[in-house]
Amino acid sequence: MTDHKAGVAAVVKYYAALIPVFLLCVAINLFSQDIPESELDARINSYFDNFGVTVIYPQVSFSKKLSDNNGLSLRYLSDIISSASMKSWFKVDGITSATTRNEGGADDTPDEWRHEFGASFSQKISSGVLSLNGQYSTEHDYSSKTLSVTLSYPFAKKNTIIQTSVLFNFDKIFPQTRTWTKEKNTKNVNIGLTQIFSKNIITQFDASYIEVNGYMLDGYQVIRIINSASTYQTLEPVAPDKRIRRAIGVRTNIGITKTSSLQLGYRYYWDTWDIQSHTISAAISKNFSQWFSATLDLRHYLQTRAFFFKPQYFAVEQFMTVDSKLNSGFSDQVMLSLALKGRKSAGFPFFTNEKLSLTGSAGFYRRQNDSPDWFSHYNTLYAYLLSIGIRYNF
Amino acid sequence: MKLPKYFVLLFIICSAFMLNACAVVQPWERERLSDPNMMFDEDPMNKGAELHYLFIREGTEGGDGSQSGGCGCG
Repeated sequence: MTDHKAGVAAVVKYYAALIPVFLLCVAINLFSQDIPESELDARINSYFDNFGVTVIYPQVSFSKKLSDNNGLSLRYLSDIISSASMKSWFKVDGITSATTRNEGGADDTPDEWRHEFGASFSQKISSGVLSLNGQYSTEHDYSSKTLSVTLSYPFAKKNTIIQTSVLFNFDKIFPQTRTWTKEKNTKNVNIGLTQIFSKNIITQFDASYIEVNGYMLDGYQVIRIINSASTYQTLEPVAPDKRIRRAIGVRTNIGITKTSSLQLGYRYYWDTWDIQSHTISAAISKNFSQWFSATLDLRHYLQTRAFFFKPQYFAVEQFMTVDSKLNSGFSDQVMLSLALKGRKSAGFPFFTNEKLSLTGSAGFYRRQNDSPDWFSHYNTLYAYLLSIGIRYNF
Repeated sequence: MKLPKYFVLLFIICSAFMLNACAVVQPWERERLSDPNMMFDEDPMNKGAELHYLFIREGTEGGDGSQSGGCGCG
């Protein structure tokens, strides 16, 4: 593999490397204390950033309430990444030798295309709900299996709900430009508590413990150690093969008026790679009518760097990474979401069905690192997020 | 897998809330809480999409809560 191809491919693979993390998150999001209602939901989500990366991920979810006591959910997600090698804004670079958009990357195929399948079965047990979830994700250089069990149980006339989940994730990573296949195994324990405090206030506490073993880096990234003006050494990044990640969070929803609410949140995270982060969030939701509602979300995030992260290396070290997500910095996000329900007086033939609803969101994300990205040499990443969806309850 | 101390702390907090259960909000008093805008992550697919890029661009995860939590209206 040549250096310039490694550099280009690394940007492409920026996404694929963290897919298991995303899987964990999505799996947790499937958890609910209720039997799912019967509905069909289709979305197209998209992401565009100033590093030249475009991601389109359509997804379809089908849920069927089989009886009052159990239900089934199926989900398919397609994750299509337009590679930076084909879209990169950067000209050939003296350090990374990154190519222009016309020169292609290290992959035979210019785009990544990941397929993800998920299934969940929920069963009422006494007052609680037990859910079994499974996911499988695959692409040409990566595969992942996820299994999880969730139990939600209400207490005190359903004023208090405890949710616990245990999740196991098994990944295989076999980069196209490497000769090896490596594995990563993850165990995730999550405990949540939701408490109603009054007729207008509900709060959720959450704690996560995640133990990861195996390969946790981007197999396409490279580290260049410059020996002199004309010679250099190119190495693969190396990280500890174990990481324990912990997070605690609290969110509260306050009904300000009969039609509007304010949600406030805080999360603290720390791990054995010395990364700590603080996240604060606020969202205001408003029902403008029975048919139309909007939510404005704001989020601020602050992170320290991993103990072995360096923007540049001048000698071989035991652990090395130049991955910007392990760098220190902060980020901000603003997102506007809209929901429109069908109604008989809508005036549009298609939208007179009251079982139908449309959703859409638009967002802006900005990340500021304390040192430039290894590949783009930008400190700041800007991203635009767009989503549109349709939901049908039956 | 050894559970850390903060899990124990969370259980204590949970227990405290359950002991507080005598100050319950009755089911017929939860009209406001049953509104979708009072639910956590009322739209989980949208939440999943958002977390997709956040986990790609940031080095942390977890502690984001579980969907809904709900009002216990059902």
